[in-house]
Amino acid sequence: MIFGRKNLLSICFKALAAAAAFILVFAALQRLVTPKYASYAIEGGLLREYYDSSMDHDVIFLGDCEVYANFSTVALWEEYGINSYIRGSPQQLIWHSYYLLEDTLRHAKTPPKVVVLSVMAMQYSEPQHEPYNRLALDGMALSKTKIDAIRSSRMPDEDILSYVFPLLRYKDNWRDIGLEDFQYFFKDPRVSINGFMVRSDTMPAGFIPAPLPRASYDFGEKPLEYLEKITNLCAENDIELVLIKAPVLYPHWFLQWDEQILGFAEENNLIYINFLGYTDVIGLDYSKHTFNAGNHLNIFGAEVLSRYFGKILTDELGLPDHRQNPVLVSIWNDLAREYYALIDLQLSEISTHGEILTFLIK
Amino acid sequence: MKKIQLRTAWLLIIIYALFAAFALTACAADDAQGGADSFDGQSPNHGGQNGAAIDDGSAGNTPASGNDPQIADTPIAYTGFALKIDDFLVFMDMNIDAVIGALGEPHGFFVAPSCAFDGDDRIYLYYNVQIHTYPLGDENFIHTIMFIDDSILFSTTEGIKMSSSSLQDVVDVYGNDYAQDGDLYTYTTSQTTLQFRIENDIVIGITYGLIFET
Repeated sequence: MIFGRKNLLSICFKALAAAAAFILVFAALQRLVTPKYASYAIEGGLLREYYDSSMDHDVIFLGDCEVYANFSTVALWEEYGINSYIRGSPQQLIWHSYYLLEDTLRHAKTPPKVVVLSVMAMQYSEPQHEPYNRLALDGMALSKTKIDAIRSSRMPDEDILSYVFPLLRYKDNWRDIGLEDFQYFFKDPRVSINGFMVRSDTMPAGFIPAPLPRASYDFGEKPLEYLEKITNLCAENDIELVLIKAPVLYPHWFLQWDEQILGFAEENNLIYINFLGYTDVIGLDYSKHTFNAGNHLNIFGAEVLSRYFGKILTDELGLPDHRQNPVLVSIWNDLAREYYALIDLQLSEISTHGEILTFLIK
Repeated sequence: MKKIQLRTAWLLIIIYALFAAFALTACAADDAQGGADSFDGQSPNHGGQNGAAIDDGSAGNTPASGNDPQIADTPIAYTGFALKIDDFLVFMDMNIDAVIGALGEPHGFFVAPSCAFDGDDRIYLYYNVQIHTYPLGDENFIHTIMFIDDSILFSTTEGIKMSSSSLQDVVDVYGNDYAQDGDLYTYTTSQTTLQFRIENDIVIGITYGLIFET
């Protein structure tokens, strides 16, 4: 025997210690260089926050900025006792939404009663930009669903491994490591109230550009395939699927697209609401209810829209009012406190500095 | 003494682990990176597929009118299709500042924000013509010009008019070498496109576009 038993144990211990040290250093480096989304592209923090929520939700919103900028989860709670969460991210594509729904069902103890899906992304048949893939996928917890999502979403030159080990993607960020990388090393900044991003500033809508012509207005195979998959997954889990188009003036929503969604909704017995057709009834005023000239609603517009939509969710879909549930009341009271504190702070910054300086939840 | 050796061993292990981590990332990252690196501050829109909405890959056609117009007093030799507005030729990929310098402030202005990143597409309105730009650094360059109706300015530099010219008029001016996709007729030259939407033999839409290099 070349090694004695003691020597062998010692070698094993050293190898294990070396492996542990490697993993530790790798993990620390990865954490350090991965974007924290505290001061730049803060929307990148939206999806990861879902896992911190300590409750299940009756309503899950899925989609791009058409959901996370336009529906106030606090207004839905305060007006109707609706317990909702927005799982939205910038340019979230239909297949991203499908896997986020699958992820939600995997994570939640009880499935949502209603899923609200923004259909704006139906126009995209392929992933558009790698960074948006990152915003949608980096925030998902690691699971088979995430791996499937990466496989379906990645662009030709993207490597699955770089999603599992983000250090491979962000290694060059070491040159730009700054204070916030250390400040948020252990705890990510919070950017939303149950997925809703608060914007209290106002920029009235003025000139709205005419849409550029397209060679074809037909939706592609891939978004249609995933819209069907979302429909089927909702049906299998006894979830009411509601398709929506948010009431924002830009980018343009073509009549041809609207007709295709309407047809799909009729075929599958789904509710489809194009809020653009109801702006007067909702009470939207684009001179004061938008923070970027009609692209997104501000907090005031989002509250107006949420009150209108909440009534539909309550009256037509029979969602229960949870305002007698002490556990939920306590959670939502905390969320509402943070919500109003951020609005007050932003309004005071606008009045003092002429612009919002704070976007993160304190 | 033993303690010092142990410490040295640990130090070596950590240094090794650091080097190994960076070596691993250096090897794998080249494959993983691909092109876009917008977290480093680059706009995801630049030079990408977001560009001219009308580029359809049609093969290099040349307008029957022949010569590409040029601007005499500009140091950059622009080529391709151009629209004359108030006697100023507006080219694709031209800096919008040059247009504003020549034509004055636009009659309308709109920022089409990227969902999350810096660098917005900007849309400028002159009369009834929309000029779309893409950002590059601190500057904005034209990628699309579109007539939004047939009021005020209503014809291409070569005289094709919205709401009155026919397909034959278009062919007489620009030739037969167009690509057709439904009611869209697209001419291509020098990385630019000129597209006509023709319904019931009447031109109802005119759009100039820049073909982005991929």
